[in-house]
Amino acid sequence: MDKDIIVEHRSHLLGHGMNFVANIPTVFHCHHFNLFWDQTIDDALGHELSCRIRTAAAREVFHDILAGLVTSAGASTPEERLELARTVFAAFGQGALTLDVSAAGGAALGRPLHYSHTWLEKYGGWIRRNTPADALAAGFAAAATEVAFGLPRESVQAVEHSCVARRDRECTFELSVGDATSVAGPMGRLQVERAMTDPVQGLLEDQVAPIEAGLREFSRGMLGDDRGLIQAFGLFATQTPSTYYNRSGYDALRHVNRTAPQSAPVMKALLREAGHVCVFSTFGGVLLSPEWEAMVGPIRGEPDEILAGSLAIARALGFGHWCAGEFEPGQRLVLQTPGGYESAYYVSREGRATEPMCFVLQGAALAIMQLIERVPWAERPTLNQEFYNQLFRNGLPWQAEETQCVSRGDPMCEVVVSRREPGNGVL
Amino acid sequence: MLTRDASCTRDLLWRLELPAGDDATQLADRLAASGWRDRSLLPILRDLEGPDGHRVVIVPRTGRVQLRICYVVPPDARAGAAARLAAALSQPG
Ligand SMILES: [Zn+2]
Repeated sequence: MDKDIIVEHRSHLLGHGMNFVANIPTVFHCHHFNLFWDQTIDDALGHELSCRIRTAAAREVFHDILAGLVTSAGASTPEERLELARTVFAAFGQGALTLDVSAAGGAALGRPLHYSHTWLEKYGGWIRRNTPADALAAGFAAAATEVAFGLPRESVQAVEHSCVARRDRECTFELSVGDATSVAGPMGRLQVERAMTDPVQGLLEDQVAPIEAGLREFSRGMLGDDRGLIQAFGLFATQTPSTYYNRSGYDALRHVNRTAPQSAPVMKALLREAGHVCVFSTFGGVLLSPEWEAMVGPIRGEPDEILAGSLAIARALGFGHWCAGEFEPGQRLVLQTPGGYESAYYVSREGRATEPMCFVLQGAALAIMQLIERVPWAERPTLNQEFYNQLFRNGLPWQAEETQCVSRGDPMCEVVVSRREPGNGVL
Repeated sequence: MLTRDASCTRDLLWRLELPAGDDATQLADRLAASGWRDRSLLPILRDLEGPDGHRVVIVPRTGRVQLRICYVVPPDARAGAAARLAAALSQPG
């Protein structure tokens, strides 16, 4: 089975910056964001419940992707389907997974896996971890077992018993077959198309569009290497179904609202911070990378250049068709999009919101302003934790407000970034 | 000259400045001819993988050369691996 099967099944929704594999929405994120996101859910719910929710989110959406792919590839036997699953997992940059399963369950083994490997890369030198890190892989292994043996969606349980992030030799999973739990509705291209609003136009389009096209062409061929990881743009990247992030994030927020509503503002702030981490690490990494230099040229650091580049990156990676509605360097940025991967999910699954719900978008808009104003690009800065802390945890000079949100029934999502007023709340 | 590259995480990425007069495109061609695996996705960015899993990424239009040390090499051995790779690359073909 060739990883190119993923390339054949990659598609996008033009004018909306949405990417799909087998008609399921996906997004490229880097390991810094991925680890931060999982940690945020862990912090909100405790590891055990967080792990269950994240595993369920991965299981649901990978079931849909694999079911689509086995049909179009004509993989009919369990062996063919498991081989296809292994290939898909590696192509997405999630790692190398061996599945030793039957219709009654079994075991899986992973090494390397994106989450545990990159957790060790990022934190292994100074933090000791006691909990496993690979809920996404657990959910994937469960989904692969379901699809291989024709079991109902969301009927296989998976638990990670040993994990490289915990300094075990390899990651091991136990799979058992139970009853189908909470069968979630479909979240595919049709739902995304219904949730999107009319395309918007923005500034700098003559700069953004060609970069978006170049990045899209490049990322279309981006696949895991022989060990199943994607090392690109100076990062470890994954292509991940956006339902993994959305279901885990919104389920966790609902749980917090129900059980500890006083903690909800903190959780929302952390989800926004995930947007900071994403833009600082992924967008910043892309802008400084040889890949960028080849496609666009060496980075100079001019405000229009960083803004246009950031919008193009967001669109190509599958965040949404981000546009600059207004831009006044040093003062104000208005970011607009006809929905994004967050609102597409929210509208389809959660119904009408009473407040803006695109937390990653909110944090990302603020972080783009930081990239424009406070990063000395010409000096080729190292985008490490120290620099991140200096930029984002040392008093932010900006405030960001999502003034319109498709999840709330508005015609677009719009985030206004402006100079922070003294005494205003943290965002 | 070999230095840590801009977004380097734990010594994985290194920037190699070729001696004046050396051509980055010729380096890419030489590596490809000597059996390095060509992983380039676009012709504007050459991406070659050697037998040890290390990659040399070359931007022909600017001459930038980035060494990507194989991530299975333990962090404390990566600087040495980068130095050895840089020395090997600077040997005349
Ligand atoms: Zn929104």
